[in-house]
Amino acid sequence: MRGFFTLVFLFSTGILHAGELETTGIIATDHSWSKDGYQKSKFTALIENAQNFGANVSFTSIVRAQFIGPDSLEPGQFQQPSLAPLSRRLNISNSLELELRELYLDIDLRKAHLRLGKQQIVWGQTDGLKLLDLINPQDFREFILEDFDNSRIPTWMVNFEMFFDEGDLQLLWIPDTSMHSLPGPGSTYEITAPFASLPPGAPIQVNPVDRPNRLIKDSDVGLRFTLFRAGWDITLNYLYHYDDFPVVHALLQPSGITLMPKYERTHTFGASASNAFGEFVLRSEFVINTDKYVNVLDSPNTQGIYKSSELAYALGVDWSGLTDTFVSVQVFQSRLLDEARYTRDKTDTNITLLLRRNFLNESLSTQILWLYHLNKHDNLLRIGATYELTSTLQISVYGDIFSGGADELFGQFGSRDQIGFKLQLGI
Amino acid sequence: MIKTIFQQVLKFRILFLIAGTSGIIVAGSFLPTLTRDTTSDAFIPEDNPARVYREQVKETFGLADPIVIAVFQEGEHGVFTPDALQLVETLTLKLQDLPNIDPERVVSLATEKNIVGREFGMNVEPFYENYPDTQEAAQAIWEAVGDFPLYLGSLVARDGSATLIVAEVLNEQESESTYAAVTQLANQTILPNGVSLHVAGEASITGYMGTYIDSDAQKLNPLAGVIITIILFLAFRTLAGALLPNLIVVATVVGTVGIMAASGVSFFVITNGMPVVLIGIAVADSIHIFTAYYESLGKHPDIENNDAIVEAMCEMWRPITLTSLTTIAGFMGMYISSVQPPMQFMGLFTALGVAIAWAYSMLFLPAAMSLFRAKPNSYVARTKANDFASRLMSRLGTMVIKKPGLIVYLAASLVLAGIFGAMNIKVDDRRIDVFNKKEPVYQADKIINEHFDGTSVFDIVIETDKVEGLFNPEYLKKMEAFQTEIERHAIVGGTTSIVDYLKQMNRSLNEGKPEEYRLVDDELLIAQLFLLYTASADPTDFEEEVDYDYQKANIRVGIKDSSYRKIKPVIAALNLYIEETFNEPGLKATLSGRAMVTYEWVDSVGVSHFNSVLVSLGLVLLMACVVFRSVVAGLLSLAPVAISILFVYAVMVVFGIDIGIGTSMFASVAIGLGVDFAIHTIDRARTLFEEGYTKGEESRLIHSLFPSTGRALFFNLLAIACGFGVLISSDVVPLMRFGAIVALSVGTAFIFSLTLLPALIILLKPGFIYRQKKSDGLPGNAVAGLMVLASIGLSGLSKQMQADDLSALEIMTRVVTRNDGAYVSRNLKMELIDRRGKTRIRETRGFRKYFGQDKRTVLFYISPANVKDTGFLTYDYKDTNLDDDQWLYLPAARKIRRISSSDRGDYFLGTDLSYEDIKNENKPNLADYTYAITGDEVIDGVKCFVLEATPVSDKVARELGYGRVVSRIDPNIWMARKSEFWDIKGNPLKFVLNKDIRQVDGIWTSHEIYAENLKTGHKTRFSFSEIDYLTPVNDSWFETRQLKRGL
Repeated sequence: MRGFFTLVFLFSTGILHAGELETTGIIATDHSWSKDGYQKSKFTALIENAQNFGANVSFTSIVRAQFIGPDSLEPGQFQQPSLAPLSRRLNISNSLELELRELYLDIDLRKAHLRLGKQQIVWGQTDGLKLLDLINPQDFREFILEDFDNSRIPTWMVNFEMFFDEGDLQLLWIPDTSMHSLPGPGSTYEITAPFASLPPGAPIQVNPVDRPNRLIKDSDVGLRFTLFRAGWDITLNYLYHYDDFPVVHALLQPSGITLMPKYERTHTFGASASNAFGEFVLRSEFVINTDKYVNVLDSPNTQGIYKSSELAYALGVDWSGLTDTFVSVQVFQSRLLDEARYTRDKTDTNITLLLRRNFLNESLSTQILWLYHLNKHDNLLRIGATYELTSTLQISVYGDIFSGGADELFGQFGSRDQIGFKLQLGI
Repeated sequence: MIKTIFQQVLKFRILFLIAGTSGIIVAGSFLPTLTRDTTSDAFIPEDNPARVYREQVKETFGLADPIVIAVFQEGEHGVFTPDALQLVETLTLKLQDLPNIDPERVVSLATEKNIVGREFGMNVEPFYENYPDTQEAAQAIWEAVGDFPLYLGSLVARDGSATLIVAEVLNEQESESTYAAVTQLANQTILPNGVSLHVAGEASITGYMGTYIDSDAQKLNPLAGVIITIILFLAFRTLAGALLPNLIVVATVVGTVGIMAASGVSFFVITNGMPVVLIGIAVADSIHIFTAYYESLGKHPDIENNDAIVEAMCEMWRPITLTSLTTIAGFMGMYISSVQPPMQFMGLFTALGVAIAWAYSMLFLPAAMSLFRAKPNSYVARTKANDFASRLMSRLGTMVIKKPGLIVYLAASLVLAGIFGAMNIKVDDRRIDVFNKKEPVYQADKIINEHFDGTSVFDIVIETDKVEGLFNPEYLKKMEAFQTEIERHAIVGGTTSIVDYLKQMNRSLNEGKPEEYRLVDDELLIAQLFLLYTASADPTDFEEEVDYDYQKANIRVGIKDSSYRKIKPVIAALNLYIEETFNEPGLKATLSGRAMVTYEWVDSVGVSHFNSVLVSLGLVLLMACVVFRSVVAGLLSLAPVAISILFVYAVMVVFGIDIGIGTSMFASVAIGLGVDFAIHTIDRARTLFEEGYTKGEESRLIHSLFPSTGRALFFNLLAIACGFGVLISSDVVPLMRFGAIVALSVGTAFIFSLTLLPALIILLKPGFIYRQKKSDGLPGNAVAGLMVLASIGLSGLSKQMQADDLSALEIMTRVVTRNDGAYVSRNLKMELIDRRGKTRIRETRGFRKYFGQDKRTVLFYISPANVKDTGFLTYDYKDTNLDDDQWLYLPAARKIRRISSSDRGDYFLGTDLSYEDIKNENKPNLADYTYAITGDEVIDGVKCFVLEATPVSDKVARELGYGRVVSRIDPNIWMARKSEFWDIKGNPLKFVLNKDIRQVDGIWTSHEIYAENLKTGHKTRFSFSEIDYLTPVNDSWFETRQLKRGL
């Protein structure tokens, strides 16, 4: 693994070959404090190499080195059990890691395009929360505070696109069975809620999660058709995949409760549409999951799990009627279509509000993003400002405030409110 | 721009001086809060498993670091004389009274008990049961001890010549005062004839190190100051030149250490090296500025003082900034890659110190210099060509020019030697080696190790899975066998465990027969032995060997030599033994103890060292590549310092110096400092080329580089080398080695920067040296430009007559129907300049193509990295009832965003041009305005129509953001050369200039658009290049999917 990594790194940094190579990079440092004091310091160096072999073939690699201190996001040598071995980071020490973010070969075939390798693919149109953006799993070590570009886990896949007059068809084959990476016990953003409560006092045994790893049988397959008609950008999507969150089966035995996390497959049918109307832009996404495994109350026969269908959608409206100002409101709703005594609400609704205003010819940008969970009234408020000191150097300050009950998705991080600053240098 | 900054600095010098001084005072006010941490645990991260486990073991068995007093007596009875034994008791009692000594945990012959057999079983009684006031009583104690194997080697020397008093401290942080109190006690005690006392032990080392470091620092730092002042005086021979750099030094050191104190970071053993490093760096910046200043005064004798300062700063800000950046990169490498907190903080705070030194050199120094009277430095001016340093440097230059090949050959040989060295270098260190060999604590440690089982210990923890599990005879036998196995290793002095007590108890029960000194094979009997012991003595006697529940036991192993290299094979062997023997369910053995922790951290020193070399080299290389915008330049900058490090490895192998605490840091420091010479050399060479040397004149150039830059670098080297040289006189051995090695490597880097680097420049003639600041000022271009201008002028004369009688609308119609090509591809550089002159630059590549009457435009950002790959696509429909369609691709979100296109008047991505301006490209929508001719005006030598455009309605005016536009239209090419804009309230808003208008592929094209917002003072300059109207542009560039894929 280490040898493989080194080889790829050497290769991708262009030492083994010469030619038309373009290298860019970013060095960034990010520090934050919570009310308990110093929370994190992050130093990141990201190097992107792009090399063209003629007009139709190119090779891209992105390597990221990160130092995160103190070692509390993933304390110790985090084993990354939910990731496929070839997709794991290389932990040089508890705090220093090296990661091959992306590595892919592009082949342009005039009416088709092939991208082979480790990559990120984003479906959908929403901000702040994800619906159709489910091709790549996510790293939750900073919950959802890290930019999705950095927290998405790139996976190895074949991405083939064909272009027709009517629209574009994308075919995906993803043999990489990496799943969401959830930080372990004792980490800063350990996710402890919302989970079903277990009978108190009963001994609990948690079995290790069994990640699917058969190359062909466990791979994900996706399909997307994109078209542009009468001003509308429309996509139709289909993905046959494992849900990246494990489903926790609870087995009641005389000796106690055994929790068995398992990954389950589902068919996802989706669509998205967006258009501009004067000062407004409308964005929308729709998703149907055929097999959504949800925890239910008092159901020992089904190991506390019920399989339902799920309809989820998101509607967003952006308004940019005022100079240098951008306002965006989104509603996300998920409905379970079958009746059962779910531990979650049958209908779950989140609202987001984004206000952005730029100053000084966009050298200063300020932003407020509010994520509000309507069912439990817990929420996350994110405030930030970024100033471009030079073309390549940016400084940002930010604050993240979680509110709500300690058993709720956002509320559980009530003690993790943070303020911080970032410096980012482009090279 | 730079010049303005420094002029402002001098203008407001009082402000800068006050701010600078306040900075020093504020940082200084934190100094008293600085804490010191000399424990060796400081070197191990708190979450290190070995450290965590050791803390647990200390907790379980109540172990703490001890202070040890060894009592020696010469003579046939050794210490077993009434005098010596009474002394042991007196000292024991006095020790128990000292603050921070745990009175319960002072162990000596006077406190320990003997296990003896009696008629009805066994008895536990103090050795001093019969008070040793006669030689017989003393002799009886010796016999008793000699009969109790457990104490031999651990409490009493096997030959009886010495005994120990072991006192544990309550709080390790206060070891310093405790050690002082114990040594005072030892010194004040009146000793019987032939008796000597030695104070040692882990807590003594920790305790003494504090005092040791203090006295060392008090000696070193003033010495460094004096030496550097002397060097400064030698270099400049003026008061300002010798004094002001010292001020920068004070600011840097006080600032850095003050911030360290304010942020609660302790001062560690190795942090002592930091002030000296900072002194070297701070002085180096000043030397370069003063050299430039005096040269400027020498060159222009009539120059005003302030002008000379500004000139010097303008010349030096760049190399000083570059070297500061690379040095910071080097130290950040140390911060990132080190495992030990002291090294991490050393890296971090030295990097901070470099930044402070830079800030003070840039802002405070010029302000302070302006207070002194300008006095041409006849010394520098006169001796420039012939003082010792200049001559030396010139001679070096001549040699380089004559034999560049030889130098490269020598360097290559050194690299080979260095690689050999690096492969053979050893990692090792001992805590006691911090001290000079003459120090009493070092001597005491040595003597005690000679006579006893060893001052360093392993604790091997044996854990069973149930309460009283240790009564199991099988387990105890395994422990016994393990102890025998351990004692086979040469560095092991002896072992102690509960097994030894059990054996002794069994023996006492069996009338003291030597053959009964053995383990009994009966679980019940074992339990009874323990019960018997507790019945007749204090149950806490075994606290160090077994826990309260008899579930965990501790085998204490005395080690005579705690060096990593000696311990390593022993640990490997013990671990193997544990794996093979302690593998049954319910029984576990784990290594712990001080020696184990030492092993762990020295082990990490090695890995950490090579990591930090690579990371520092990588970061410095990256920084050098960035600042010179050339990979070759980056590699060349790195070459001297890389060679110097390899050379040092070779030297270390030759002199048998290991990589240890002190030496492991040398490389990062050497990289950070050593690369400065190369950067100065390369930067100077580039400047010289810009000032007139051309390709082929490398030798001449190199020759002229030596007397000035070479001389400054020479004094720079002297300052740094002497700064580190001072460390050589340090009593703290790791610092001494560190100083010597850094001085050596920096010196080597200096030599190679001034020999190998010029040699390589001569031999390789790398392109970056000649690369001028990007400009199109080549003669060919100039001629072409002149011809274009002339043709414009001629054609203008002929067309002027025809245009005179056109209506405004006709003129605008010609403007909008002007041929701008069916398609075009081009590069666009945007410069966004704010009121204060701060410039942001974005480079893009764009395509435009007509699809029938509709127009599609796409723009891809190429640089800088933070906006790279951003894409902007517009479909502009001829049908004005249709809104344009616009998409923005943001790489950070990896999403193509539909954006609203209604706000035509919004500014385009931070520029001073609106979306409408960008889309129209000088061809406004005729339906938006009514036009009137208001006169003519000559712009850029061309007589232009002046046209006033008024929006057709308030609504359109609001949409566009303009209340009125006045344009100067060139009637020869039908293009506006200048446009002024007013806002909807009638206030002047901005003006836009189309400049550098030339034909490309037969189409008139503006190569530069300049826009200035009169309200905000913000300016935008668009420069177009590689404009191509001929090569067809593929339709696919205007698909949204291409936005995502980029160029």
